[in-house]
Amino acid sequence: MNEPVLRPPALGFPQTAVLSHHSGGSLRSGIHSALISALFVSGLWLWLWPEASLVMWLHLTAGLVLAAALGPWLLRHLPPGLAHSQRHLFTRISWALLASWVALIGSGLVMALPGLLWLAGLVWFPPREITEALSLLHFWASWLAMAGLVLHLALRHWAWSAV
Amino acid sequence: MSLKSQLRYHAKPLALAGVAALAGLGWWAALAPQPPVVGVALSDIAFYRLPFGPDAQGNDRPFWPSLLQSETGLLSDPARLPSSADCAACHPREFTEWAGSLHAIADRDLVYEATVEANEDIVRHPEQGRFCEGCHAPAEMLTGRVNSLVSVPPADALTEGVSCIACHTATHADPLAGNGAVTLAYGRAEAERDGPQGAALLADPRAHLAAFGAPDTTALMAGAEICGACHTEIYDTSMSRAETPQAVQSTFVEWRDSWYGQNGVTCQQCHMAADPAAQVIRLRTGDLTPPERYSHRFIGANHVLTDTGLGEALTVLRGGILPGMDAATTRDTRVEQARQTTAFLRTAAGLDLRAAQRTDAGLRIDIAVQNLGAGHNLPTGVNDQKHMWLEVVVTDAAGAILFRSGGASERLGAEDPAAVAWIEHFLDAQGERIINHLTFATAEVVWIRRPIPARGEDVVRYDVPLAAGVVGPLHIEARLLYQIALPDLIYMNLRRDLSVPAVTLAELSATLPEVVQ
Repeated sequence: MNEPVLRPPALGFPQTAVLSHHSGGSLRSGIHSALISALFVSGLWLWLWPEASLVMWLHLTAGLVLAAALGPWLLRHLPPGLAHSQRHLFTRISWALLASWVALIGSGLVMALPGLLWLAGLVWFPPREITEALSLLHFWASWLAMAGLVLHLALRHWAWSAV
Repeated sequence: MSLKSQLRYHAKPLALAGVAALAGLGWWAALAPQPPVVGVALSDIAFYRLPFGPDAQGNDRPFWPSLLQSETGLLSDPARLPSSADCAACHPREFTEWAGSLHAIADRDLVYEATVEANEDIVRHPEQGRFCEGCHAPAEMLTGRVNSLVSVPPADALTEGVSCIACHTATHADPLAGNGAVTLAYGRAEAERDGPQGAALLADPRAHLAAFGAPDTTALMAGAEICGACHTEIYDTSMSRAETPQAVQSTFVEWRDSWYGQNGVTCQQCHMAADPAAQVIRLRTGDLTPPERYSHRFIGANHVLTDTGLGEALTVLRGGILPGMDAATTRDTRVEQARQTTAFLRTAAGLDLRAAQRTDAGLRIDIAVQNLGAGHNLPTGVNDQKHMWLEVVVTDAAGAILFRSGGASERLGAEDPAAVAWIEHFLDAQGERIINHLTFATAEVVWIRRPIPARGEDVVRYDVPLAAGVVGPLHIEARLLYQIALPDLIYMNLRRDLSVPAVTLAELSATLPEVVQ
């Protein structure tokens, strides 16, 4: 137990890449984390007090910004991340995390769609049952996404035997 | 064991942003202007009169003799109540359908308005009109405008009769008590105005749904009880001269005790079906499948205030064009309302010739008048006005009329006292008939001929005297006619000589070669 922890060798990615193992993250991913946290808190606030109009707008705007930023970032993060994951558990948890994020962002975008269409002069919204299902999905996916993110950041992706 | 570098790195923005967001929201919540208090105390309505005193527990009865209640006990600010036209921004189909309905004009219809005024003229306290307005104008009631001295400003929402918010904020209904025994949470509608609107509302409609689709309201709107609260009317000394309760409308109980009520076929399944006539025809065959889509037309029996043949007079009778509607859309929705109403009425009844035989005095005819499609009595509602009668004509081989019963009503625009009619009479304290629906003067309500229960029938017998030498075969033509109001009501209350057309519910035509050769 007192043996020094061995780290995997440095990955051959430039520092600007989305896997920043030495520093633990990039400025961009740090901003993502901050946005995610703020969205989680504001989302909970909205869950409790849905009549908060200003919070709704802030949440919606920040959510769209995050969705726009996170997509490309994930596309670049996934291939090297998968290539360097040495633990099946980590890989599976990461896929589950991705699924929860897709559910979270997807449900959020569909929920935002009627509002965005309204701004474009069109009125459309799904039936109440769908709206309520989306709301529930968004809520629970946010917990899964948040917990999964912390787990993803905390769990080692390298296998001691491979080090 | 040290933390993984990624967690070390991201813990900071995660924690800081979370705390900052929480602090920001807390700060905003503390400093943001608080939404205005919802509800208006009764004492804040200037000159509001309570001429009928408190109830047995000593509580104010601001809406008496209507049994309408406010959920919070508070009244509403008319400026904050959403008009149905506001709802139209996102629910245009529902709004347009509703705009053609009788619910939309429940407080605009000139005949109704004139009848309320006629009633108010005969009582000491005009506030007694609250009995009518509880169902016809809940928004006016709950804002305190139904008062002899009106101190509350007008608003579009107050002119819309049974509007969107009337049903979509209902929290309780007592269909056995009737007389408007519904509790409305208009406070929800007022508070919703302070929540997200427009795009934000559409992005997160939970506050909107909580206001207008709360679980208690949704459950209530799915059943017959909410309808029964107003479609049950019982006169007593609170609003009439009746010493004992007089059942004036008993539509809810009629339905409850019928095959329809026993099989869970609600009012909404027929009157709010997208195609009510088709739905009734399905039910007549025993198919209990509910409609695929519900409409807000509330198709009923009023074929006059949907009669587009009246031209511009219809707009006048309906109290003008509703807020949020234009002339073209109004015309289109009325045309559809008229089409559905006529088709619906034609599904209600049937006539069947049960017997036609020669007697010593002439001819005896038995005609069964059948309630085939109405899930309540036929006729139902306020039956001192809404009534039906049978017109029977017997002709000989040459077409000469040998016998006629019930024809005068349609031809002369007046009641035919000789007709077989399903109608109730309002009687005053002296036992004299009241023909123009003066509720407050009514002491007794009597049926001249009892209405026909759902899936029931009433066999009417005619003894037709036949002169010697009549040449057969004889021919019988019968029509079951329905009229929404007596012409005398229009004449006496509205001071206009308008014809009130009748609608033919069912027809019968038969030749009797075996009776007279």
